[in-house]
Amino acid sequence: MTQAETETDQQLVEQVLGGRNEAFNLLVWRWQRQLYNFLLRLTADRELAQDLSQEALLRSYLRLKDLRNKEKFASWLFRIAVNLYRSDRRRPKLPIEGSVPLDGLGATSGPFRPGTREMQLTLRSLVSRLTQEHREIVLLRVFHGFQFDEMAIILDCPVSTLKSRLCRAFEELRAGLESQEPPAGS
Amino acid sequence: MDCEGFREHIFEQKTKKLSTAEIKDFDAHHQNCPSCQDALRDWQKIESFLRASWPSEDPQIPFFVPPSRAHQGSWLYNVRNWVSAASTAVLAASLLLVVLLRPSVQYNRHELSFRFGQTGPPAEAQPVSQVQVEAWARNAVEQAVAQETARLQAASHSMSDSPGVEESRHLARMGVELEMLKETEASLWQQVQQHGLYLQSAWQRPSQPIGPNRAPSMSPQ
Repeated sequence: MTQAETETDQQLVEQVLGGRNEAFNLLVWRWQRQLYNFLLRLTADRELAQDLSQEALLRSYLRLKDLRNKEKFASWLFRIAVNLYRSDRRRPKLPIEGSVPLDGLGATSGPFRPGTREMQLTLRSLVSRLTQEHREIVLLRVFHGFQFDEMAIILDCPVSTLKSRLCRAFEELRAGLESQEPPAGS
Repeated sequence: MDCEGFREHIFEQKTKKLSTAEIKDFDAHHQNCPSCQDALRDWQKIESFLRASWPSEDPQIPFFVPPSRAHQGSWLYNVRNWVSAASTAVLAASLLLVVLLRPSVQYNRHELSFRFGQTGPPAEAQPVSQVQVEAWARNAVEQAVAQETARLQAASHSMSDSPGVEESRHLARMGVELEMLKETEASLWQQVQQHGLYLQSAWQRPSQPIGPNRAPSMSPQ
C-alpha cells in the first residue's frame, strides 16, 4: 500500500502544516480527479472546469492553516470549488472561442433507450435543466457519494433543506425520464 | 414511518447513516407501500443511469503542485538560509549606519574629504521686511552717489590750481559725468521701485517662498 492510500486526509493536512509540503501532492493526487469531474458536470465546460479546479486547489493550499476540522478537508475543498463556481456564474461573460463545451449537452433528440447515446444525452440534459442548487446536490450525492452533513458544509446549507432539495430534484429527474421513455409496447 | 420520511431516507439508505431502528422502520414501510417501492426503485435506476451515462474523465493538464521543501533539513539548505539571513542583516546594519552617521563627501580641486555626523543646519535666513529692503537699496544708492560726488569734488579741487584750458576741459568732463551719475541714480531708483512691487506681490501670496531664484529677471533700463 502506498502512503497516499494509508494516510488519512487529516494526517496529510497535519503534515503539510508541519512543513512537509509534498504531503499536499498526495491530497491533490487523491482529490483532483473527483474535483475536476464535479466541476465538469456542473459547468459542462472542460476548460472552465480545469481552471476552477486549479484555482480551488491553489486556494486550499494557501489557506490550509484556516481549516479547522482537518478531517473534513474534502468537504472544505469542494466548498471552495462551489464558491468559485458560483462567483464565476455571477460574472458577466462573453462567448469565448477556446471553451470546450460537452458534446451534445442539451440535445434530446431520439428515443430514450437505456444504455444508448440518446440516454446519456437525455440524462445530461435533464441534469443541466435542474436549478443550480438542485444540480449541485445531485452531483455531490450521486457521483461523489457525499453524506448530508458533508454536503451541508460544501453548500453552506442546513441538512433538512438539502434533503428537501434532493427530493425535489429527484422528482424532476423522474418526471423527465418518464416523459422521455417510449410508451409501453412500442 | 410515513411516505415523506421514507423518501428522505431513500438517499441515506446506502450510506449506512441510519440507525437500526430507522432501518427497521424503513424496511417495514417499504414492504407495505407500493408507491414508495416505486420511488426507491426509480431513485436507484436514476442513480445508476446517471453514473453509467456520465463517466469520469481525467484532467487534461497537470494540477497545482506546491513548491517542494525536500531539502529543508539538509546542510546546504541551512547554509543557504544562514547566508541569506546574514546578508540581510549586514544590509540592514549598513543602512542604519548611513542614517546615524550621515557621511558627506566633499571635493574641491585639491582634495577629497569625508565627513561624518550631522553637519550643522544652514543658518536660518532672518526674515526681511519690505521697509528694510527699501532702506538698504536707498543707502546703497546714496553711498554710490556720495562716493562719486566726493571723487568729482576732489578732482575739481585738484584742477582748480591749473590754468584755463585744462580747467575748462575738466569742468566739461565733470559736467558730463554728473549727468551720467544722475541718470544712474534714476535707474537705480527705478530698480528699487520694481523690487518693492515684486516684494509686495510676494507678500500678498505667502504660499510661494521668497528667494533669489524666484525673483523676476529685471534688466536695468
